Amino acid sequence: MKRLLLLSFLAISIFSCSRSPEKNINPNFVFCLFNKEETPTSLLFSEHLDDTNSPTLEIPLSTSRIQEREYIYKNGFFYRLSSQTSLFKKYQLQGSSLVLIDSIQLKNSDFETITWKDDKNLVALCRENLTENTSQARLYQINVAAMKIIKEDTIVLPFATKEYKALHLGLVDIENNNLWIAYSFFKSSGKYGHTTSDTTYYATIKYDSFKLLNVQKETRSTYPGGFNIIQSYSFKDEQGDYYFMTNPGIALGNNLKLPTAIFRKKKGQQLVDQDFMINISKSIGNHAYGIWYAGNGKAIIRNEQKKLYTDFSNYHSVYQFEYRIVDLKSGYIEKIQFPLDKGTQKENVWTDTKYVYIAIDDAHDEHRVWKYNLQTKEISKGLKLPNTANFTVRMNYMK
Amino acid sequence: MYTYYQKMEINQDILKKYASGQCSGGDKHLVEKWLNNDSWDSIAENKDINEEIGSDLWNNLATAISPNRKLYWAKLTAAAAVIFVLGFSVFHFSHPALNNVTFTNTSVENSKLFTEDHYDVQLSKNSTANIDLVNKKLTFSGDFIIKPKRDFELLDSNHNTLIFKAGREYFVSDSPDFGKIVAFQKSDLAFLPSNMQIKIREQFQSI
Repeated sequence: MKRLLLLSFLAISIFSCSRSPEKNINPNFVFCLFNKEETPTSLLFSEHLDDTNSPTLEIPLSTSRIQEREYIYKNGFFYRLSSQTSLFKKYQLQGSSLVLIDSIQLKNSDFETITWKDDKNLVALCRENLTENTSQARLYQINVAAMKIIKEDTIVLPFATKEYKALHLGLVDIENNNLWIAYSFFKSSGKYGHTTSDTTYYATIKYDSFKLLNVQKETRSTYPGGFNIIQSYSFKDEQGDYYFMTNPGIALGNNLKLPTAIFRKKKGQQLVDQDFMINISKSIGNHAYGIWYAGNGKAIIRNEQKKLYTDFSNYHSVYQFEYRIVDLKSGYIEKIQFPLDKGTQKENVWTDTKYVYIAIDDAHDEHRVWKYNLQTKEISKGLKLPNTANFTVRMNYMK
Repeated sequence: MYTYYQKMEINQDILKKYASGQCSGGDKHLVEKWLNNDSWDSIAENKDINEEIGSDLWNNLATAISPNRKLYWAKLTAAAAVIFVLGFSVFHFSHPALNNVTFTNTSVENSKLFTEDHYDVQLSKNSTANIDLVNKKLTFSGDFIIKPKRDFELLDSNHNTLIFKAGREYFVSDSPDFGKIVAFQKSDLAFLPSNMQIKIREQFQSI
């Protein structure tokens, strides 16, 4: 029966070969596509986001969809941690192939949140015990140029309770040789469900010694950040101020009485600025997930619409997601008039100084990059993606 | 460090053989592993596979079509007719009868795999399922993964029709955490909260 899959793969190969010469394209963007009919996931490489008919290159991956979109792109290389083998692998696009460059064995199989200490050093946090008995985090610092583990240790984060004892590692930042971690605790409900407690914690830790310097509590929202190798939940602005969002909605924290919000930690400060909070849920009446900086004090968010989905059976497949632009200074939130999008937790937003580009899978089964002009607020169409796509789960800039 | 899959000789020949059903047991197993492997490096020699298979098939089609077109198509039609009649009769006369089977896994720790003519089903711990292909009905408690070998539809206890297609893989659950009875394919599972995915992976190591 898997022949069907193989035939689909052959069809994709033939389709790609007949469509364009596929050689020597110098891609600036890569899309991760979940394709229709359960055919293999693919990476689509493109030079432009405009509708220019320039050649693209499509590389099929495997049919094992779980976690296939969970990769890190940095300076010409793709990095990926296998949940099956815990191998951390480095790939490079060479010609029309993804070539394995190197791999190292880790002890953990899932990264929860990552940051870059510098261009070569990845800092990744993993939850140490997935079966929820402890509240410990494991940190890896990996030099990705040498593919060597530079630092690896367990960090014990306080304030787990008897009831809420499973750790969620939501955000990590490194500044002035201090590690800053935002986290919360959750408990299981039923066989597969969970709910997050009402408190967000921010820990500042000396990076060299892992000595805990302080923990700040926040009860106005919970579930800071999320799996940021799937979607972005933080950014630094032109001044170096660090903005991040909390995600208590059904798709992440599942503590629906608390709002989705944006918070700020100013450059050089160890503590989160208590005077700054943008309450997204109060403004728009819905939860949101994902934040991307558009420059000049503006950020893009992606929100669900609770009136359009019923539960997890259709959450990802209904056309419900909207995009809004948030003025970080005034807190004013304005909707961008794009078609409704589908798919949970997508990383599909990129901006230059003039436009916001968003890859949308719309109700007409059109898969396309849409453009929003930051000055005129006009929207227009950009690159059309192959109709073999079902969900455009990622769009990354490659330079 | 290199993985087992990377050493695998997945090349043009083996893929062609696989597609035409001529693979030996071992090779077949390797290709299937490759198709289901979560690792991107399963596409070793990807360049060759992509370009050669694509251009070869394309060239073959192009050269086959141009000379003696009428004769070629007549032959092709005749061959197709023979194959269709043979295929149909094999299918019609030898296809196993539809059945009605109840599966039980009383283990509190491990999932359990059952292999049937029309599907394989893997029951999670403490689950039961009655799959009635004759009356197209499904009654179950708990959850399971089903890999259909033919297309069929089943009516669940909430009178919703679940569609199963040959060659796919479905996670079926009555857990109230999903809202209603669900039959998710792998692409659906990828959109669930990570904690749900981790728990599903713990139940079924194969997914």
